[in-house]
Amino acid sequence: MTRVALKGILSRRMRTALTMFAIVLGVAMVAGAYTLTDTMRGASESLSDAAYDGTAAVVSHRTAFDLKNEGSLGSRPTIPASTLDEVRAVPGVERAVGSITDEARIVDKDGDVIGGGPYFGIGLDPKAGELAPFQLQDGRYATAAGEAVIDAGTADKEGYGIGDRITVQGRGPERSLEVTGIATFGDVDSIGTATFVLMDLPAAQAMFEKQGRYDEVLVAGDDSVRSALGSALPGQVAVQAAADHDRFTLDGLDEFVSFIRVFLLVFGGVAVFVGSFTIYNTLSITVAQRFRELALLRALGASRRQVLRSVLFESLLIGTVASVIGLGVGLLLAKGLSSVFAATGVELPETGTVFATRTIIVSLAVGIVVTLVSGLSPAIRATRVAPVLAMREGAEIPQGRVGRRSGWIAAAAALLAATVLGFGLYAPGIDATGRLALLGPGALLLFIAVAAASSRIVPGLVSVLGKPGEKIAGIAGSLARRNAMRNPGRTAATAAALMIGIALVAFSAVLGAGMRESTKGALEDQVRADYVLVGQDGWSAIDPGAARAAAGVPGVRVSTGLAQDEGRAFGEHIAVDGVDERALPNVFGWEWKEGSDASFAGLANGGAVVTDRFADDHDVATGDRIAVTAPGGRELDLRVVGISKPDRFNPLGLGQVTISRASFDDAFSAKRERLAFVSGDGVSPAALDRALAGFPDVKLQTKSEFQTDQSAWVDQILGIFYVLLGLAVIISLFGIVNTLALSVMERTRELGMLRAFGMTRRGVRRMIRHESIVTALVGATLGIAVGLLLAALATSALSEEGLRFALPLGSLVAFTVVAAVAGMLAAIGPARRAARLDVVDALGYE
Amino acid sequence: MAVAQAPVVTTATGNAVVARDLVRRYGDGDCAVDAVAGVSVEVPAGQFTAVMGPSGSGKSTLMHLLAGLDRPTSGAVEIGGEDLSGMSDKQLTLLRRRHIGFVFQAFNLVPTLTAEENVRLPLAIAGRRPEAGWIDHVIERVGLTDRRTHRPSELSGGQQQRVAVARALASEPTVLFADEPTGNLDSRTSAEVLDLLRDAVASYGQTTVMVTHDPVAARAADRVVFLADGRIVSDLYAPAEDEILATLKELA
Ligand SMILES: Nc1ncnc2c1ncn2[C@@H]1O[C@H](COP(=O)(O)OP(=O)(O)O)[C@@H](O)[C@H]1O
Ligand SMILES: [Mg+2]
Repeated sequence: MTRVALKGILSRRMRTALTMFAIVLGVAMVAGAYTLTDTMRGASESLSDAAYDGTAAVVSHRTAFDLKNEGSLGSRPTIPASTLDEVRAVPGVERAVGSITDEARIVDKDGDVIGGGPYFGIGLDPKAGELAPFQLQDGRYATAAGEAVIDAGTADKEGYGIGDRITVQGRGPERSLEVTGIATFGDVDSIGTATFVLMDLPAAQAMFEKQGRYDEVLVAGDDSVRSALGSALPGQVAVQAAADHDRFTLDGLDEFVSFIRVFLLVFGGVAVFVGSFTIYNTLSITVAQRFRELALLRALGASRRQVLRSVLFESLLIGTVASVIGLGVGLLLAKGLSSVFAATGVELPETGTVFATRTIIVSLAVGIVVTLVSGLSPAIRATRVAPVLAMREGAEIPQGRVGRRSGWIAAAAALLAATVLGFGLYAPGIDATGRLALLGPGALLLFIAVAAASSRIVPGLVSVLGKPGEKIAGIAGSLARRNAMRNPGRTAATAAALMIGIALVAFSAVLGAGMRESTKGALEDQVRADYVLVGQDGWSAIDPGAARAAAGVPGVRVSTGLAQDEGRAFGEHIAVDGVDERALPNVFGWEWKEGSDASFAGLANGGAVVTDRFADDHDVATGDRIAVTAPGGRELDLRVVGISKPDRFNPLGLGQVTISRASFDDAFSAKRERLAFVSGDGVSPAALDRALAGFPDVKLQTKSEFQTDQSAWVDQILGIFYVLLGLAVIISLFGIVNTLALSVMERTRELGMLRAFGMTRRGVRRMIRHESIVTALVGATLGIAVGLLLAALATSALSEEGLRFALPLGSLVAFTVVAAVAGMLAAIGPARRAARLDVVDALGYE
Repeated sequence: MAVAQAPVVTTATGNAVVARDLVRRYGDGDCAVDAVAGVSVEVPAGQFTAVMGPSGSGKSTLMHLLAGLDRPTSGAVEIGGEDLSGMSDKQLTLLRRRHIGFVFQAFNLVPTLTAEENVRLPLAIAGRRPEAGWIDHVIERVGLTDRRTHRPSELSGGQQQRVAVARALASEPTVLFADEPTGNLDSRTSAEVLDLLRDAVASYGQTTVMVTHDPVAARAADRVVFLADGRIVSDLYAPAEDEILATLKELA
């Protein structure tokens, strides 16, 4: 029986190859995701070693709570320079140096900031040695103000050399520095998209207005030095291991890697899921086609068990071979993605590809198990072939029972889907993330339900969707339309695979459009300024000097920034905004639950405006007092003077508590502003540009530019989603090719007849192509319907977060067109084969 | 274009099909087989010709050559006055549209189409609109008026073959080719189908070429051409049944 299975596979080489491809792609995604992220994690560990290995302890200002967003650099207060002497006096300290770690951007000749952040501006004691990860590649360290060492990555990319002058923006306007050296970070040119400016320690202190202070003191010694330091130093400083302090924010890289892993695995899962449909379909077809052979085997005395084993063995073999290939492809995929990352400037240290045993096991298991499970139902059907069928002319495999069962499966899956989705949406006490997480299994069940029900829906859909083809292609279109209905189960399974890909694409598009709309809508109401000053990337904090510079431009009435930092209130992490209480109401719109714009005046003397959600959560009313702790430990005792009702979508990430800028600056260390607003009469944009020339990190935008720009990330993410989901669509196309190829084979004699009666080769191609298009359109229609449903559910689950529902009609039409074109592409091979048939041979075909 | 009663297209000599020195060789070198080994034949318009011969004698091959489905290794075929030599596949296809109708042993109806749609199929392929009533007429002729909306799977073998005959007649072909049209039928339904073919010859002057190895079927023809080893060995006009049997016996 094994031989029978093997021979079967060999004789259906093409179809087997197409089926394998479906598994190969899915497994490759899984293997690629693991390999890439393992490699990245290895790289980030080696970076961490390089960055922190020589440092036994980091002494810095204690924070009142763990900072969440240290990537923004600057939330942690500085420590006085005298701490260094105290540290040096502690026994066990071999060496200690002060250090500044702040933000400084390098600006290219066109005035654009180089790199994608973080932008490290480092004050480096030349005696730091092992305490700093930098290694001079060329030149010398900076020893005076006006000098700088830059990272090799930036030097390389921008062509900077020793003696060149570079423009650097630290605190305040940009200034010109001379490059005295080029350094690597450990053994890499730079980390990720980060840039480094290493300055002389006093020069850095001056640049960042930290004279007489350090951000941290770096200590060499053995590990026990930490406890010695801890007991010797005063309470307001913290002593941490370098990796815990993580001054180069490498943890962010780790988080990024974990995110990428989950992200890619999810898409790999989608690919595998779609692939399973193709496998199911192909094996069903194989069984249907082989039923005479199977019946013969049964007639010759093969038991049901043997038939089952023979078919399962075939799937096992396909699954194993495809998974092994997939593993290999995954490895290449990981390498490819690495070089994509490298090409976009995210260079990873050469740690070599990490190909873990876990990757091999998981990938093979996924590929093989999915193939076997998908092949189970066809295999069971194969055992139902009665031996007498071998003798009967023109007999067909019985299908009745399977049809009925699919109805039950559809009903059960639909019920389960409704339960999961209903629970996820309406059960109390689940947060937005939880609700979205439940959408995943809900969607999966919904897909299964629709797929199982689709053989019933297909005839109707085909009938409608095939109509235009009938108009366009005449008899070819008409025959195509009927051919697509000929075996509804087969068309359904083929279309269902495409449905999944399209559904996810449509789902993303609708949610994306919703986010875009929500962003625009919220900003429409909030922004009252003529211009907005925002970071180059649209979200990075900007230098407060920018708003001040803009204020001096003729005609400007208001130019005011919004500072933000982390805080703690009621034991919870919050964001605190510092605003100019007189200027802000003129440029920013507030919705009020309690109070009015006039309430802002109350900020001046220890007042605070809190959001309605914050007020509800903590049972706060106007007039109540609340305590907010700043990272540095300062406790603010604030009186609530108003309760705002901001748009729930909160595209600007405004804080829960708003206080006056004066109190903010007093208690918080964040020096940069989240963004700034400019308004006035007859302000010339050119004059504003000129005033802001010294602040290359700042982008000047009109309100409408700002509205569009703030949602630009949606399109970027959608782009990535489309590419990754395209994979699932491609897999389903192979399913269409498979099904069509089989149909062509089954209908050989009919094709011969049509040709005999005068259908041209072109007509035959047309007929196959239209059948393919109709199948694809069925998939697209089902997909868009399911995608819309899921998106509507997700939107309603997220309505608490202010997400609006928007229908991207253009995109949906585009997806339909893409599906039709994809159907055309899938038909090329089978159509050509059908057209090439020799008429006489085809007529004699059994 | 609507044609009611087809003016039978003939050559100057009144022949619907003319074949000269036809050879169809399969394979090459030592194992070359001439399935048709030098056949010249004329099929006059309006004649019902049967082609008989033992299995493997080249009947089907000859029919394919005469119907423009296959190309001869050498020799020439003329259908309705058009010389097929040098025609491209496309030209041959269009020629079949204009001139040829088929009835197959295996019926070869399209299972997704109703009986009537099957009958209309050749006209639909040719993009021709039949004259009002013509299709009804043809369907009535084959006695399937009450079965026109049935699908092939709902029809008996004999009914299916009657649909096939109607389909072949619908486009009023210059020649109707039938390859073993009764091969899959019992004797009673065979007789019905033969009556239909005979009737078409009689009432429309439908030129018909039928391959068969059934002497009963051949009796319906005006003329019986006998093949053996790819050659015409006998050409009888309106032979009696015992004459046919005798010739076949000789050939076996
Ligand atoms: N495609 C082919 N390749 C090789 N030989 C063929 C092919 N088709 C037919 N033949 C041979 O040509 C001869 C005539 O075949 P055919 O015309 O089908 O005979 P008939 O219809 O009289 O039974 C037979 O010997 C057959 O084996
Ligand atoms: Mg034959």
